[in-house]
Amino acid sequence: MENKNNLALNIENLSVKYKVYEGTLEVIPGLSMHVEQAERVGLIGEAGCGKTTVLKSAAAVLHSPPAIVRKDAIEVCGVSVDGKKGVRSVRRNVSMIFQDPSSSLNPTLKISTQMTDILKSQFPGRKKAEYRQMMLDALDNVSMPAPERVLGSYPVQLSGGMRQRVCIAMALMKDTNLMLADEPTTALDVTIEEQILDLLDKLVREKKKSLVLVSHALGAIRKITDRVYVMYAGNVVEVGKTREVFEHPRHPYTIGLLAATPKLTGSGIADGIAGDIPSYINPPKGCRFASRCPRCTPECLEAPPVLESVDGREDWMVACHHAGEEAMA
Amino acid sequence: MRKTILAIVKKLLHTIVLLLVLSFVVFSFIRLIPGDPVRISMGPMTPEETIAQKRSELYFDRSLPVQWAHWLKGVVTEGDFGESLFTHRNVAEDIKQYLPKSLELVFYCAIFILIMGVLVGTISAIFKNSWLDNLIRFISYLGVCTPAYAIGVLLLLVFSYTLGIFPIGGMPNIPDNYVRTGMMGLDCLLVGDFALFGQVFKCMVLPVLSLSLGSIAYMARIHRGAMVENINADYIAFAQVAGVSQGKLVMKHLMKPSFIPTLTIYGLQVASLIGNAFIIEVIFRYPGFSQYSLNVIQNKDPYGIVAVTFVFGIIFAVVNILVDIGVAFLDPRIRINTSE
Amino acid sequence: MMTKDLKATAAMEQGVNPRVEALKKSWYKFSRNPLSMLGLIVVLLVIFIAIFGPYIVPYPEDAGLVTKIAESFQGPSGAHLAGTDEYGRDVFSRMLIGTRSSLVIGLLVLAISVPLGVILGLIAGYYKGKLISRLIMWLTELFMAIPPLILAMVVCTMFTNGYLFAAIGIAVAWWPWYTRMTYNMVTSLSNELYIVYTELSGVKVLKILLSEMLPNITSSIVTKMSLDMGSIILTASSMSFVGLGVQPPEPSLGAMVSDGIAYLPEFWWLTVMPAAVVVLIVLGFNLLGDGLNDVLSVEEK
Repeated sequence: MENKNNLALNIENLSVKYKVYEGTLEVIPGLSMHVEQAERVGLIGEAGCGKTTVLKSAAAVLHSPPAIVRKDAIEVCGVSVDGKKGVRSVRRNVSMIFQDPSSSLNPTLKISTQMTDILKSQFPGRKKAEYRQMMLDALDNVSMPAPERVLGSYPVQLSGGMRQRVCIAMALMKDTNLMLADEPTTALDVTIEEQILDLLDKLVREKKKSLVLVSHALGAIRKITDRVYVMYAGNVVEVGKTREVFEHPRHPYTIGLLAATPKLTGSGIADGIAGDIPSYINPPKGCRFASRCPRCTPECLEAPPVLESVDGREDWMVACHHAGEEAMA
Repeated sequence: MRKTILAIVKKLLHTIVLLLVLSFVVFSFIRLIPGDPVRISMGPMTPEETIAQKRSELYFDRSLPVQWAHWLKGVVTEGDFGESLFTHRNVAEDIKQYLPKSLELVFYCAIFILIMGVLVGTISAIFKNSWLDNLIRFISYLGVCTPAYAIGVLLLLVFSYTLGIFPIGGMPNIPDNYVRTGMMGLDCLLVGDFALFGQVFKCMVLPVLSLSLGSIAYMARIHRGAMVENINADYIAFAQVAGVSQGKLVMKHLMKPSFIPTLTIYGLQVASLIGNAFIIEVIFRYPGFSQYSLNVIQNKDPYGIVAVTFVFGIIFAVVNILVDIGVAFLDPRIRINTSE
Repeated sequence: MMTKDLKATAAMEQGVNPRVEALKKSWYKFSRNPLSMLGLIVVLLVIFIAIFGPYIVPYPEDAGLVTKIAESFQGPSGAHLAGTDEYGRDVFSRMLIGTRSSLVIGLLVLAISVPLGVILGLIAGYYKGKLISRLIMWLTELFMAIPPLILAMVVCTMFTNGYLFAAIGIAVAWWPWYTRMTYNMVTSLSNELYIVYTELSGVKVLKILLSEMLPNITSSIVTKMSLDMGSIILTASSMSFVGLGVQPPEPSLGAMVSDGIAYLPEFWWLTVMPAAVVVLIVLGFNLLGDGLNDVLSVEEK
């Protein structure tokens, strides 16, 4: 933490708002997270809690307006996203894979065209054959069957899994330290999901990249990542070493989230958490999770909890007024 | 590719049937007109026998299907569209004389509209929400609301009457031995008379401008809208993060998909130009097909009206098919058979 | 749909009428856009002129065939806001009356083409694939096969050239667009689950069409009507420019421009003034339509 310039990604007190008819949507009220070099970080939480917003802000592709983003909050490899120059150099240092591979490839251009355009700006002035070889290598890298045919295809001609492999290949063409993966398997079949995540894991390890992985596949998060951030309604509620958080979750939301995944042992599908994420307009004054929390007390409705160390440890933090009361879970 | 060709052939057949039905409908419609068109055209003083003879010549004394079949046979076998009661010539000759001139006018407009509409729309989208964008949007909004005749009058007032740069209307005489295609400018070029082409060109500037400006405004709005919408697409964000250069991103990755809605609207605009051209032809005294159509319609000339609607139908259909081909060319989702 | 219903019931429980609330919200959004408000003001002004025109026109007699040679070709002044024409008639008065007839033609066209187009579209959409549907859509295509202006002119001149037939002519060219739009919306609605459920539960076809489908497409149709009003007025003025529609001596904006061309450039107001009025009216309806479109389409999201 001391040497900030060494961080692959450093977000400090990021806020993202939208102005709408009903008022201001505080999608991200004030979020901090960091990713060290060659570290793999997971980001989990239910749909609509702001994970994609955080990633898009970090890659400087969140559209503003309509979003109002505090841009100086984000630093990628020591460079702030603030300003035009910042945006450009940040984009140079970030790769990102999107949720839906069918919408992240241009429907009107051949795969080879899309890949060449990336290569041309990364490695200008090479020969056509060289670019072609580089593309074939890149596709080979993601274990793509029949790469020659894929290059000559349009996205519609490929299956979902193939498209996502192409996306990963394209994202890896740029030599960056930081890879952001926004639910790369949500739109895919379960059978393909594991293949893609294994591939991503392998490639990131090989190239010693930092990774931020957003996924609902908690098993994969556990397998792949070193640390995990748990988000709820725009806030980080718990952060710590993946293994420790998964084994001894402290925040009631984390406990519920982990319990909601079906387990092989035990009584099949678990309970989940009753209720919905609160409205982002006029969010509750206290803890945003209070309305759904089994440990809720008057204190929780009054003041929002801040992230505090667990057992005096720097690397495990929980935002809950009742973090210590593990027994109640 | 086979999918596209099949679709086009199917559409072509469909259109032919549609046009045949259309001509039949127009024939029956003409029969509904109160009064005898032959009598109206030949005047009240003409003796009854002459009228009767003319009526029989034009198959007006036969049943509707017979008249229609006779007309159709003439069109298909000899390109004979029947006799006009307005010009007293075969309508085919009238078409040959007037249609190329209108097509030339519309052709220049079509090119001008495509280039300017896309250019202005792109600039507007790239500098979204800047003062330039706002200015362009303001002017194009106004342009969409302004009738072609008002633009024509304004241009006349400024460029002809006040500045005296362009003539107030009319076209130079093209010598008979020049006529190859019937298009005035093109004929001059084919003959090699560049001086006369210059004159023709000068006379066509204001008509082309008056006819195009409204469509340019509309095209610019559509193209800007398409580009601005596609800027939010995931594939643009992905290409941006993946490292495609800014220029390529805008001019290729953003431009190509944005062309799909633009092209569709472009087709509609070009087709409507042909219908709207008559006002401009009237204002600038341009001897074109639209003005001829207007005369034919106002004089209730039966064979003229059938031919005019038929020709417009063909032009509409051709433009539509060209647009379909263009869209298929741009959008592989239409071109390629997918199992999805 | 589901969430909307839930919200509506929730609002009802709180003692608020959800419809009134939705209207208030739409109005708030609409009124925050100054351009939409400008459109609304212009349209209200046009409607005002159409209703009270005869009482506020400064020189009502100038609508007809009068000649005041002494006053001819006067430039815009306090007495004649938009000058006078070759007969000495007040251009401003004639413009107001012309505005009125533009609006009346526009309303007539909509009154004919919208009900016709929407009903045919509902039928064709609901019975998609059946013979009746194909027949209707084929007819639609037939009427769309030639330029609308040409079609309108043919219809208009065939009978008596005048006001009413100009409107009928334009309506004949206009209804297919409403049929096609309704058809597309109904066919996509038919796949919605709640429509399928209603069908399965044995509700009569007419009831489904009128109480389930129609309310869902009304906002799109209203928006299109406002935008179309502008195009119809443009079309009608183009027709009157070449002498179709309103017959002289009754004034119409298009004919005034056309007559004035002969007196360019000295007597510019004869053309520029009525042309500007056409632009203003069309602008008003387009701004209003776009404003409605923004409010109503966001509402659907």
